[in-house]
Order: sequence, then C-alpha cells, then structure tokens
Amino acid sequence: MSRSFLFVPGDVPRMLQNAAVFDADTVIVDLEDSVSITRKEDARHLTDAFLRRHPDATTPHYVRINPLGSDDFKTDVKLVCALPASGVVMPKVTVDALQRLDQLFSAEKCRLDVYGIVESARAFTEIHAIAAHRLIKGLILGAEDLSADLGITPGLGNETLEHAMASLVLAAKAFAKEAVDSPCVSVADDERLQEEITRALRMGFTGKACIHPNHVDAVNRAFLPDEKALLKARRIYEKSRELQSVRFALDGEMIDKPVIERAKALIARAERYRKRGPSA
Amino acid sequence: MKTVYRNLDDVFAAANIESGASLSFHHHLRDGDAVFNAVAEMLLKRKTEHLSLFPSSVFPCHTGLLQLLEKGAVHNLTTNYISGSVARHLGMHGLSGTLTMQSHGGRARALIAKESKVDVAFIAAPAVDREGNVTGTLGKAACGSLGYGVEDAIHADRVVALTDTVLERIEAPQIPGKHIDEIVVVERIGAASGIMSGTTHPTEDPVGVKIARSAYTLIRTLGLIEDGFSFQTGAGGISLAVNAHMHRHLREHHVKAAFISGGITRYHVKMLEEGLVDRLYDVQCFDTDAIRSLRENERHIAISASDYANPDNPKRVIKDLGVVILGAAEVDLEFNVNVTTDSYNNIIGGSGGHSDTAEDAAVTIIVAPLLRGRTPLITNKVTTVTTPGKDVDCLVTERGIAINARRRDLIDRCRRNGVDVMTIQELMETAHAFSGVPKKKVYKGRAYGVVHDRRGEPLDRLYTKR
Repeated sequence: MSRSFLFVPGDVPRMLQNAAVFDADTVIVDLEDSVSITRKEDARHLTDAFLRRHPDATTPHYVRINPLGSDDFKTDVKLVCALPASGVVMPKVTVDALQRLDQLFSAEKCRLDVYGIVESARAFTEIHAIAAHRLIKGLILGAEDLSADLGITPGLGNETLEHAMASLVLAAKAFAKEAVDSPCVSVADDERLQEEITRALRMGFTGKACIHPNHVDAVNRAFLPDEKALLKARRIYEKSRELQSVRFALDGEMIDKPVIERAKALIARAERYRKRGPSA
Repeated sequence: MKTVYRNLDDVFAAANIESGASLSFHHHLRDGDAVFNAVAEMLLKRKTEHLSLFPSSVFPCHTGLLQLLEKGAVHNLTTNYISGSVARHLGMHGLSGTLTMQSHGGRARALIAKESKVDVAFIAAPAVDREGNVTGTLGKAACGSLGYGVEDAIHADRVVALTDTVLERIEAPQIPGKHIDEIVVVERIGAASGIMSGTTHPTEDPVGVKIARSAYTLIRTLGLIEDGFSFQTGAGGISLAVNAHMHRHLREHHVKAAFISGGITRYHVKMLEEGLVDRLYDVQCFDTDAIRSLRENERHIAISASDYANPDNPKRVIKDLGVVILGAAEVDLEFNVNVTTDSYNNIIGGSGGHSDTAEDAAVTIIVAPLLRGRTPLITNKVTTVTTPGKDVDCLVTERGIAINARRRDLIDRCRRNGVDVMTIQELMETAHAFSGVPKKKVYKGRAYGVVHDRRGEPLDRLYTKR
C-alpha cells in the first residue's frame, strides 16, 4: 500500500530522471494528460528508455496509459507490457475498459496491477464492479474530470464530490483495494494541501496522488500513523497477546476484536513505511 | 571637518593617483555599484596603467573594470568573487600580472598584514557626516553593513569616501571619520535595484526542497540544534530553505540560537525578531528588511570582515560557529569544493566566505544537486580548489548524503540514528548511472591566477582557456 503517488510527465527527461528522489511511495509515469497530443510518441520512447535503463527496485513505477477509445490506448498497453513497470494506471476506468485491458494483457501474455482513475459519473454507477475486478489494485479519484462531467466546481465542501469520494472509499475498502485521493492542483498553496489531506484521512483514503513533487513529503507524513496512535495500538496489541483475549478494558475503554485488528493494521502500516525510510 | 570635493578630478589630483597605483573598493552596493565605474572612468581618462586593483567582489555592473582590462591597464587584480563579463574576459585573456582570488577573511588579513598594500581606498559611503563618519544604514543608497570596507578604510594609505548623502551627524558610524581623508559628493553612488540584487528566497525547486529537507534532517540527527548553538546559511535558495526548517524547529522546540553570522536576509531578521536567535552578526545585508533591522535593532550587529573571518583575529565570530551550510559547483572524491570555476574553466564566482567558514565551523555541510542537467556534481578532481576537503564534513544531495571519512564521529551518529550515509564514491557512481562518466577536459592555457586560502597560501591556479 502506498501513501503517495507522484505523477511525472513521460516526455520530460529532467523530471523522469529525478522522479525517484522525492520519496514518493509510487511513481506514475504519465503518457496521458500531461503529454500533448504531438508528443505522445516522444513520451513513449522516453518512458521506454527510462524504465529499461533505470529500473528502480525500491520504488514501484506505474505508467498512466491513454484511455480506451483513444488512438494511443493499444500502443500504450503494448509498450507497458514490454517494460519493467510495476503496473498500469488506467484513466476513465469503466468495467468495459478493464475487460478490454484484460484482453490485451492476455494477448501480450502479461499481467500487471492496475490503478483505475474514477473520473466520470458513469464509472460511479458501476464502482463496485470496478473495485471488484481482478486487475484492480486500487482506485484513484479523478476529481477534476469528474467535476467537469458533473458540471460542478471541484473543491472543498462540495457535497456531490464528497459523496463520490465516500462511494469510492466504500467500494475500495469493500474489496480490500486501495483508495487514493485526487491530487491537490494548487501547487504552492500549503494550506489547501493540508486541508485536502486532512479530509482524505478523515474519509478513509489510504493515500493521495501528487502532481507536484513538493506535495509528496506532506502526504507521506500525514499518512504515516502518528506516534500517539501507534503507541496506543502497540499497547492494545501487547495486552491482547498477554491476556490471550479479544475483549478487555484498557484506560477505561472497551477493546474488542475490530479494535485489535485495527491496531495490528496500524502497526503493520507503520513498520512498512518505516522501512521505506523517513521522508524527512 | 573633512575636505569635501564635488568631483573626482580634484581627488585624483590631491591624492596623486597615477599609473602603478593600488586602489581598493568594497562591494556592498553589489550590482548597483556606481562608485567603481566612476573611478574607472577617471583612470581611463587619465590613461593610467599598471594598476593593482582590490575590489572585494566584482559584479556584472562593473563595466568600467572590463574597459580597464581591455585597455590592458590592470596589472594585478585581487578579489574574493567575480561574476559577469569581467569573469569571461579573464578566462579568455588572463592578466599581465596576477589574479588573486582570496576569501573574505583572507582579504581582511592581507590588508592588515600589509600583504595587500593599498594606496587609495574608495569607500562607497551611503551616508557621511561633516566629520567623515560613515554609515551604510542611511542615505539614498543604504545597503546596511559595510563590513567589507572597514579594513580598507583603516589600512589604506589614503581613504576617499564617495557619497550622495551628507548628514549633519552620524551616531555610531560603521567607519569612524578618523579613517576618512576626503569626501566626494556625487549625484548617486548606486542604484537601489542593483543593491538589492542579493535578494533571494527559499528555493521552491523540488530538488532543492528535497536537499534542504535532507540537510535539516542531518543537522537534527547530529544533535547540533540546541540552546546556544550558532549557524550560518547565507542567501542561496537551498540554504534559505534549510534556514526555514531551522526557523520552524527553533519555534516548535523552544530552542534559542546564540547567533547567526555572515550575510543577513529578511529570514534571519524574522528569527531575531521572534526571539529565536540572540544576535545577528552581519557582514553584509541582502535586503531592505536586513538594512532596517541593522538600523533599529541593537542585537543586529554590523561586523568588519576581520571580526567576521580573519584567521589571525582571535575574536573572529566564525571561530564559534556551530554549523555552516555552503554550496558547490563541483566536489571531488577528497571533498575539495570548487565555487570558483565551472568545469569549462570559466570563472563563476569565488570563495567569498566559503573557505573561511568551512575551516572554522564545527560542522561544514555542502548542499548541492548531484546532477545539474547531465553534469554530475562529483568528479575525481575539481577543476579549481576553493575550499580544501579537510575543512568539509558533509555533502547533502537529492540522492544521498556523504560524510568525510575524517569525521567518523558524524558517520557513527548518523548510523546510530538510522540516517543512511553513502561514500562519496557511491554518490558519484549514482550520478554516473544517469550521466555516464564525463570526459574531463583539462585546461592548461596560461596560468594567470591563483586561489589563496585565508592565510595567503596558494590552493590552486587559474588558467586561461587557451
């Protein structure tokens, strides 16, 4: 599970070269929105060379392909299947698109994990089927495109958008998949970034996408369990082992099995991220 | 009362400035300085030759120096830093005599020791009173501290203050009137926009942000931030980003630093005003907030270059410096640092206070990108040694930290606290994985310059490009 997903344009050598230095848990090399239509081929060429020559064992590298229905979809899938990439990020995900992707994977004899970007009203009508799909590792909210589709202004406090966010989290969690919040588009507005992170945590997202490297650290820090919560989780876990029980009182609070499971998950998450090293 | 002249002609006549003269200048008006060019115009008009010039730094605005060089009028040039067209000219054509690149502390030491013998010091003086007292905090071209001009005024045979602001009385002058021989009133001594050319902000470049965060983590891990510690970050973008981390740390952990030294910016002033640092020792102001603070806050103290960094001065501020953050154009496997030339042998700056602070600070940290485009930072041997590796402790890049093997204590502290340390060789190889191994071009044209350490010992030579 990743806290931060950093998008990097596939056609900018300097940014590709530095993609792994910002401590993002996952890097997403982008062939879609950040690459102009005239540079798609350049981006594929550069992404190919970059991932072949600089495979980074410590950071998963995914490739965001162009969507089903675009001229580039098939070419992108073929490319990614031939690369040492960790998987695919699929924009405008639908069940149909996943099935088509699955067919292409079979034809190319490859099987890669997929993060689906949920960014249309239609996708929300089938979000459980999307979340349940065998290829899907996680769902990423595409708030900008979704807002355009819905005719709303994206931003904090929009009820429709927050309803969609909650739906995405519920669907992802129902099928044990990751729920990833949309990136903050205000590049230099730290306050806005913090508000978005706080909301994402409150709503149950497991991570957040970033379109600027300077956002990664704040996301990593926020999604790392805080020391106080971790301390309590350790005490709960240790007491459950000591008592060999899933029901007991601690500090005047009743502890039962779900609380213990949550404590174990928190400890595991903290251990996992600690191994990745502190972001700062 | 001092003699007040209205033009430089009279001063040149009175001071008998002619061919073979040694003249000095300070650089506090930076890229807005009009004083050097006014003097250069006189030197050109009088067809003087075989000059020895001692500007503390040279900026792109110093076109008068370029003209003197093109006429072959300058025999020796002794300075701490060069940028702009003068740098390009020297790299191509050299000098008939010698270019000597000193550090700020080394310049002060050489003036005091009379190794740099100056006939006339021209002091750009933002405000002067009738007694010749000079301050940099008042006047149309206020620039704050005059730290790099103080030793010139004390040790030159004759001292001329050029000003555009004459006041009735200056309390607490930075240069007392007893050192000033003549005052020349001119229309203007500097352009405000150029004077503030040192104004910089914490970097927002993601690579720089990452380096700054790693440097702060290193400083914290080494346990260097504690009540009464001291540091110097200068005014570079990455350094100021480190400063921002330090600022937040001091505020959140209720720690108070004893002092910050060197070049002072608004960011350092804010820390003083928030009570997070006890004193600012200011040898150079970089912006209007720093100038205002120096004028108003008694804990913001102007110091001379000698009190800042002269190795022979036992009271120099930086001997008590805890941590210094410095930049680099190149670093080699011996941790030697080059901030004087680029890898094509073009002059790009000079030591300033780099080698001074590196030698004196308890911990010297270099912050720099491992790759600039396709050019790796680390090389087998730097093109020019500005600061010897024996004085450099840590190198922080976006792809890792290397610590000089001489500092086993720092390496152990990092490892104990879970901070990864690479060897400098490993860091170089990491860069080469992206850039390939660059072919080093060795420039051995005519040797025309020498880089001195702060005691006047040669560290390296400068060669023309052909």
